[in-house]
Amino acid sequence: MSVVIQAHNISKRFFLGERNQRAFFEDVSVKVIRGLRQLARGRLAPEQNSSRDFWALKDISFQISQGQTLAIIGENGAGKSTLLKILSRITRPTTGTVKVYGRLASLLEVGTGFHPEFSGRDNIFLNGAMLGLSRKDVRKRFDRIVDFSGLAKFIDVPVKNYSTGMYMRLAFSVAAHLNPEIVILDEVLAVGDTVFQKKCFDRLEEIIEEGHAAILVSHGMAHVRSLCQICLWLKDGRIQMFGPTDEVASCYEKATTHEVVAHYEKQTAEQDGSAHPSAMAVLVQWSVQSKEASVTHSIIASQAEVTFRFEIELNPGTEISHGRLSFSLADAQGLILFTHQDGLGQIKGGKFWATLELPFLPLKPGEYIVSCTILEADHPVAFLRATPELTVLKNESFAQSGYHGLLNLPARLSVERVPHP
Amino acid sequence: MAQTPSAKQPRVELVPEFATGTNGGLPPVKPTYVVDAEKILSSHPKDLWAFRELYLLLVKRDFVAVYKQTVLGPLWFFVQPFLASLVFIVVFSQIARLPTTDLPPLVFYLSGIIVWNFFSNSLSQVASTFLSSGAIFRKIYFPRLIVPFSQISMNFLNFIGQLLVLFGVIAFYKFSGHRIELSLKILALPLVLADMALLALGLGCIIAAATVKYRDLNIVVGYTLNLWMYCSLVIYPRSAVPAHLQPLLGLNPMASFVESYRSCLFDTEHTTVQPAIVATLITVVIAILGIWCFAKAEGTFTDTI
Repeated sequence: MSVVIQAHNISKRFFLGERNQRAFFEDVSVKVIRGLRQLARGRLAPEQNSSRDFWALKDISFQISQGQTLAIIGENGAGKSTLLKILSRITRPTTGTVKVYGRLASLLEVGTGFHPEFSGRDNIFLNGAMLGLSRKDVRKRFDRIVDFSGLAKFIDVPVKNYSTGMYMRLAFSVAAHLNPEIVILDEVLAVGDTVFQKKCFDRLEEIIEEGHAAILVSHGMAHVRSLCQICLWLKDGRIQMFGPTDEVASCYEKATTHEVVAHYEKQTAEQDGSAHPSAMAVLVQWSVQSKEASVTHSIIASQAEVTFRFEIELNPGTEISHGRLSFSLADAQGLILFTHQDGLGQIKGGKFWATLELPFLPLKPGEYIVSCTILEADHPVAFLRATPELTVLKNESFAQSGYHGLLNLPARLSVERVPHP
Repeated sequence: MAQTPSAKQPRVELVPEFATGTNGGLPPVKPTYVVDAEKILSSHPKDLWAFRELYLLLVKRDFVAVYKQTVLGPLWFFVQPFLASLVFIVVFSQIARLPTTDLPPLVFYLSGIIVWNFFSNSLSQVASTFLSSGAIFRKIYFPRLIVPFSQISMNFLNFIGQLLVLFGVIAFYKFSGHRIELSLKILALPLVLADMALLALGLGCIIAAATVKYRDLNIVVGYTLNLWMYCSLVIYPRSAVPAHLQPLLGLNPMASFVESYRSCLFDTEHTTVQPAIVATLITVVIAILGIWCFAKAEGTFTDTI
């Protein structure tokens, strides 16, 4: 397995604040004054600018071998795009080296370098040349590009007369037919209407398959899990984790879930209008069980029955006469998948168990947010979030449905010929 | 972090292999490219050559774009020098009574203006490379020097067009009985033009690198170029310069180049070779410095502009 990209100790420093915004004369005068001071003191004072330094990336080392697809994940501002810019030679790192073995093309944004006065045809050649293709190469791909874009009728019209959608379609089509050996993709590349977007995603998958190696930047964890074997998680410019996608992705989801939950809790509280909804009760502990192997807070994806148990402590001295318990299950992004509301009856202060049985829970592997709300006369009195979150583990023996979608159902397809009447 | 090796997933190397000095058991291959924080030049000459088709397309793009959606189209290239020549004839020849050697004033000024336009347009366009192409530079990698090269080439094509018009004007004068001699010295013309292009490239690159930090330099460039023209023998011959100011001309490579250019065309002024050699040396130094500055700036300009 030969190495395709080898990054060693990459760091990138930016200067924040005034440093770059000073006028020329200020710059010069500041330097002169500093120089004179040093002369007066007779020694060299070190330049003081460390407080304004900002390390967008710090000591990033990794490598990709042939056949691997790397996902780079992380929140906005984690340094993902800076890293991509360094890999694709757009900006120079402050320290470190990158060795790239093979023709690399980065599709960070499509349509840059199009000239409005030029026809679609001319722009295909111009854009192709910018991305490193020879005229001959472009001519070979020309028909496929036009075909993919679906703009054959307008190919000799100046692109300034294109609609935004047409423009983006043409741009993506050029970018998608470069056939580089190493490709850097940004998922936001998928453009246009739903049908064309689907086409884009399929093409992205093809590109990844055709090439020697690929780097994908994505926020859609489903895509990351399905397309990439290895995953690099960046946080504040440092490698938080690097390894097999499954491990890194679930850790990342766990981390982001906390933030989503915090937001979610706040939102719920605001909606309910109760300032401290958790004041009346606390969730002491919770567990989940299924017939298939399960650990306290995780289950394995399967068809088996699932039982949730919540140990709730109602504040001493309080009493709920017509209580209801609302259970809700949301995915890591906070999308509510399922809710269930049932009567609690009359409960008094102290601990009690609430058990919820589900005949099956067809979830894809990942992190899920579980929460309970206690209501009294349809007014929420306590919001209880289950920590840690529910983890659904991958089941090797269990038939997986496709990678898209939220549910994991063992569907079966059969085909029959309709008999002629 | 625990790793569970599985049959499906390729093994993930967490320790960079170069630490152990092996390359997956294979003999080391030469990288296609290396990004190194310590090295300045990423635009390798080999890279520039690989992107020669982009260069041609960019020249074509800039050239064609000028013609589209304009009233006069390509005529602009010919109207502008003629108008400027007319003004110069009135102001400098008729009012200020500056000599124009043996040449008719129109030929003298027109020849000077078109070559000065070539130089000054090239320089100012190269100087604004990072500002005008910044959006593309931020998204796509190609050797950045391609852009200055294509801009100079585009201006050169314009100049050739204008030169042909100049020959038309010369033919007209010859026809009406003026004595304008063209000589074999015209063969040296490409050398002089190359000198000018190199100077425009070098200075333009230095300014381009500086604009990364100080954006308003471009305004200064336009202004300075205007003043520079008056010191560069465009509107008067060397013979009109008083003796005590002559050494100053030696410091201005463009004065020497414009003079050499005219003498290549018309064989009228007698030039000694010495100032041309000095000017060429200055130019080469500036060009090397310029390309160095440019290469240094191209790696970091996205961080500041």
